[in-house]
Amino acid sequence: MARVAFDEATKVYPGPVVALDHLTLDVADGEFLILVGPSGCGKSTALRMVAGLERISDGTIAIGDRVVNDVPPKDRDIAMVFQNYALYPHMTVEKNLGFGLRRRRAPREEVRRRVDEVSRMLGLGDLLRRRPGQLSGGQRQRVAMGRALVREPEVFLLDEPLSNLDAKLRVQMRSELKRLHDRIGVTTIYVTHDQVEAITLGERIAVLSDGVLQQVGRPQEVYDHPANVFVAGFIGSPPMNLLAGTALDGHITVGEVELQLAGAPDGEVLVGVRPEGLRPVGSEHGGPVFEVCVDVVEPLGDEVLVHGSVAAADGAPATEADGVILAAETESGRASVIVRLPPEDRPAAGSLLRVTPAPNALRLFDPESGRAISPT
Amino acid sequence: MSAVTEAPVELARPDPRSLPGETGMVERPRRRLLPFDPWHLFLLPLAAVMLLPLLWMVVTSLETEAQTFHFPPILWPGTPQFGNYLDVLQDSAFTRWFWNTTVVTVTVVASNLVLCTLAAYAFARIRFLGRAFIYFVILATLMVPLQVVLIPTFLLVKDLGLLDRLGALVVPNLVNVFGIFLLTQFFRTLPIDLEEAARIDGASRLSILLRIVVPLSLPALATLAVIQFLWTWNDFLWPLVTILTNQDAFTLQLGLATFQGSHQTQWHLVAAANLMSMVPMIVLFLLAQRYFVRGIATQGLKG
Repeated sequence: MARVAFDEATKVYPGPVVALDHLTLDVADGEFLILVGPSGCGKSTALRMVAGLERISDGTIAIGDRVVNDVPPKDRDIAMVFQNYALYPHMTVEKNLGFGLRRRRAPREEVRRRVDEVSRMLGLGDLLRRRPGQLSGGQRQRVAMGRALVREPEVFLLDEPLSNLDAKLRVQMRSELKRLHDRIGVTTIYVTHDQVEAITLGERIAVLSDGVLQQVGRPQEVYDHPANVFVAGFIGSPPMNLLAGTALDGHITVGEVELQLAGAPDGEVLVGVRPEGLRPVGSEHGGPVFEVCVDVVEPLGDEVLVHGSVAAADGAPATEADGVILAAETESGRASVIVRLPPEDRPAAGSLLRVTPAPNALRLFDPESGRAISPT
Repeated sequence: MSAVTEAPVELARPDPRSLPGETGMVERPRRRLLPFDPWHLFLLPLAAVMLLPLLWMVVTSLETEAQTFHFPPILWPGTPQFGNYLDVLQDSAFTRWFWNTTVVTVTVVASNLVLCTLAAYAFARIRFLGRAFIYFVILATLMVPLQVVLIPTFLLVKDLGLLDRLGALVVPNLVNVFGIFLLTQFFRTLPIDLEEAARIDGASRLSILLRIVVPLSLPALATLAVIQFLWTWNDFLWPLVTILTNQDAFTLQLGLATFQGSHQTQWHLVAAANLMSMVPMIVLFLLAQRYFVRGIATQGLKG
């Protein structure tokens, strides 16, 4: 087992294009860390730098106590699962699994023993004589996992391993992956663009955007307290609602609504609230109430997503993260919001829905920098 | 562990072919006016035109000398003269020529497979200074016809002391630019992930080339082998220039030319010798037909 330490690790491609910008991140021994971000954010580059498939332009990466900047991939004691599995098409499953061991001149019996062990663990016993072309997507995925496991590496690197599977299989493999990690406890770095995967799988998640680390933390912590507008929009589906407001003496005015939030610095702010942080209330409610004009109602079975708009100050931001519009201005003076409701509270499209923010559901962001403002 | 092994993946996906609404449906045969593809009306006469010279050669090889000059041409000799073949084998150094050609062709094909693979892999995958430029220059030589470089190459071969020897036919053809081009283009289409996975698995460059790249490139290598075989086996001009007097170093194509005298040509023997010289190629063609087609489809450069 080993920890992995990025220290100011930077990757610059000719151009110059900065793919990874001074990443400093510690992955503890045995930890399951998720690198998550939209496509092109540098997460795969970071992983490939650990694997030794990309040169490190600046900074260092250490595996265990050893800086590996100049260590070739085969000597780093890592194993990687590729997005498209990269199984050798001309070899049987058995040969695929044993390839790494044979290249390392492991004795024949040892290779057989470990291949047997891994194939039993992953349920590949019946497939050993088949070639990758004769396997289903899920089976290929398992062979790819097996090829990595069989070498008993110090660090496991997974590059979007589930993205080629259909939705149902993905959910199944997700839980298998988690169980597998609980069993063998190898330090694992897992790259994904899927924030659901990130939240469900990781012990910690690291959110990247444009090569810059945005936030690291336990999934719940990142979900509850996003460090900036980007994380607020990227983590969570649907994203956090963002409304422009003005703060003065602990009072924040959003459109016609006045919110109380102690410690808010005076001036322009962005108020963030998760879709489930808005609760429907009756007309007799005394606190702050947003009146949502309901545009679209999306019933999901266990819940209902209500898309609508509320009155807000002009200039509500339309920030995009991975194609998701966080808070698009629908028309002058209105901002769109999404509310998550239990199915029995389903409103009709075109109706007026009265909601109030739940206690502790409000987050503040600086509209200039996008950073979270922690109430003092 | 048990959770990992249970629930086979296939169960999650019903076979799309056995959807309830579709079972029992029989595909109706398409109605056709002709019992064959209409293209055949065009292609069959064309094939006949192509085959006619070959047929004529077969017929000629079985005729007597007198019959070959008969007019109108005889389409089938009454008694096939199989002795013509024996005459060729006994009266000429045919076996010697055949052996020479085989040695030259096998050597050239083998060296091309090895050397083109090495060069192509470097161009396809290894980054080095001037790679694109060198590749461009090498490819540019494809545009230069043999006739242009005939004399310089001849002088080189002469300085190497190879004139009149089989080496003259082998050395200039050890590497063929077309082969480098063909394999480079093919190697570039192989997924780089496979090689990266092999690197992580501990394979060296050479090991990656031999164990991953080459096994996956067998179609391209077969194409190259077939084309190179064809060119070398059939080459006439270059042996004619470099094999001057030494009859022991004659190739089949040179030897066949000796049947055509300036005053008299024994056409029945020419035809018999030609047919025998074609046997390896006919066999090769039957075995590797699809690689011929692929090679022609990918080249269009030299023939």
